[in-house]
Amino acid sequence: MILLRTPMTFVMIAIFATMLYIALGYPEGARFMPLVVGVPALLLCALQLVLDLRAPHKEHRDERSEMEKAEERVSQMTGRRMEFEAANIAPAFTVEENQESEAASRERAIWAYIIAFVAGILLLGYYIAAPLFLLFYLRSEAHCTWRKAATYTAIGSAFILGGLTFGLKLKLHTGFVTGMLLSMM
Amino acid sequence: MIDAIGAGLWALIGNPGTMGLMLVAVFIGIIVGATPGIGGRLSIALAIPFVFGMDMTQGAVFLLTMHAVNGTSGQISSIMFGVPGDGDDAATTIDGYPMAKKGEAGRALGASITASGVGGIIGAGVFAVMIPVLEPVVLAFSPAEFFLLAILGITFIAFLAGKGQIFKGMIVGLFGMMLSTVGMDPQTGTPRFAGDYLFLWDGLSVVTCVLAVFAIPEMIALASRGGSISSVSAETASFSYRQLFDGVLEVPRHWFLALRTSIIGALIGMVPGLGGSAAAWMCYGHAVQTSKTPERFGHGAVEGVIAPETASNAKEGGSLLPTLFFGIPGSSGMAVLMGAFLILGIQPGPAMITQHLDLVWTLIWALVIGNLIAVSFLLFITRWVALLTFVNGAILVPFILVLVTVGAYANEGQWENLVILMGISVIGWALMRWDWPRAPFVIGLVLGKIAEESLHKALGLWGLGFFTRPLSLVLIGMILVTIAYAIYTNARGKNVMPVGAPS
Repeated sequence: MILLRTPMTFVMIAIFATMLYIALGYPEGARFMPLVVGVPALLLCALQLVLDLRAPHKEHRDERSEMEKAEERVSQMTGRRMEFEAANIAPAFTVEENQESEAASRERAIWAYIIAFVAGILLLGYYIAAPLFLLFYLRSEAHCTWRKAATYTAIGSAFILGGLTFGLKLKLHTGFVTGMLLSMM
Repeated sequence: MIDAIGAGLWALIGNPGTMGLMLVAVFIGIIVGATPGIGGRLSIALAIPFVFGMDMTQGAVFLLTMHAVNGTSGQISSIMFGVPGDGDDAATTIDGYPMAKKGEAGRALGASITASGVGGIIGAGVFAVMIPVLEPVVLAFSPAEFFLLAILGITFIAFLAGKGQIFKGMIVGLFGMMLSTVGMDPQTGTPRFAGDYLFLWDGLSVVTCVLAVFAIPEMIALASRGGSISSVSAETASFSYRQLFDGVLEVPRHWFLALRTSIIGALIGMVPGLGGSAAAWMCYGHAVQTSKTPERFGHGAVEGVIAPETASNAKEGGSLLPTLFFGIPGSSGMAVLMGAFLILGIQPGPAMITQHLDLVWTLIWALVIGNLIAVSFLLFITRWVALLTFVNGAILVPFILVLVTVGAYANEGQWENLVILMGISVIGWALMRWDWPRAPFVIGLVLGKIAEESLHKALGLWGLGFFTRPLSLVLIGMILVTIAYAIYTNARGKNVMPVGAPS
């Protein structure tokens, strides 16, 4: 339960403890800096853990709009009661953000996409993986039509990959599988 | 000094290639600033692959100009649509949007764009004025002070991370420092935390780590938040060029306010960790306090647009000072910029004064000329730039991802950096997810190597006695006071920041 309430503190403790343990095996000069940094860091983590445990289970949620909060803080700063008209005027457009559950599932999807994309680059290289993944994302995630997705992909790939390769003469990764196939040909 | 000023200017205007790059940087900076979801530091991180191969001056001018003009176009959506681009622009919305609703969008935009440009130029001026003042201080610093300065930098950033974040900020800063020890130990030649992986022997790439901690989590947030524009009011602000010009004239009409808030903004920028939002809000408060008619604020007072805009852009000049001379990035945006400077071969520190003063002046001139170009440019194309507000940020995600991976890979041309990128991204995402500050990580990572090198030198020269040097004692005092004050405010439940969080 404690772990669920304060996961990041435990992650940090684990990282520092592991690195310190490894550092202890180094010669004196080499372990000096990791110890100088790691020991105080572990102490701070312990202090943070105490703060986490003492904190109330659920933070009080401030339901006020950003403008209302700004009203209060500028009033505190200036010592006079401020009223901002913008707090009462609706913006010219609103952005409908995803619900929490939908956002969480999209978060998982984008993680999967990123991991697959990086794996794609490693195996197939930039010149094959980047256009493929751009097209896939624009069609499936951004809900573009095939024509639009293909156009954006072509323009984006030409600008980014073409610009970097021919304009700036950067050597991009060609991919392990692609490289192997090319060497066999 | 005069020679350096002239050489700095000539390096800029005497080289058509550099001027051309600056124009491109202004254009990209304006576009990126107005596009939702891409902040200043992300845009710098994304631009890093494009500076590989550029010479030191051109690359630095390109990145700094882009970073400096970013905020100038960011306020367009705040004024025209009441939707702030980022934290820096929220203060502008308070009076800018009511002005637009009263049919004065052009006046508000003219005033804000000009104020932003003026702020940027005065901020660069304040930086320039501080050089001769700070020169003896910077040169008096020995390795002992540089080690303590690195610790002070992290303490400052952590302190300013906000209420209840002091320890989290310090832990994250120390985590960055710990990761900076990965690689060959400079004293014994022992590979630390690197095992048999040769690519780790040179240490972790700062660019890869910065991209992992900032770019990937921001992208995940952008993609998962998603959202589409649900309704656009029929009466979205329209304006004439006459109105825009009238707004431009508001800045000279309120020249003293613009001057004061620019100087305040630049000074705030010099304090590591105090971001543009703090400068903007403090100067908004200052404008209210010094006005004879404070009741107009919040209802469309043009001073309420001028003050935050001058301040938030002036702070760029100010934050360049600790970044270049002390190697302590003034903000997380500057931390990313500093990482890019290191790639270009620019080593921040006292050598910037003793050996590269002409480069410092080139950067100051770049801030001045870049802002002038950006203002003139933006006054003509504002109405079209405003349309960028409606771009669905989610569409940009895959393109940004390509740039991020190229940035990580092309830095050293090693595929292993892509694996490192993924690993550290998870930590970066977790920090964002559980509301831990991320800026101290970059500062710690960048300062870690400097701190270690300085510590070894200081111990070699003075042993543990380096702690008792007068300047060291001052710095130790500042570190202790910062921590004590943060603990005090934390215990009292106060926020150290007036409004908004540091960027």
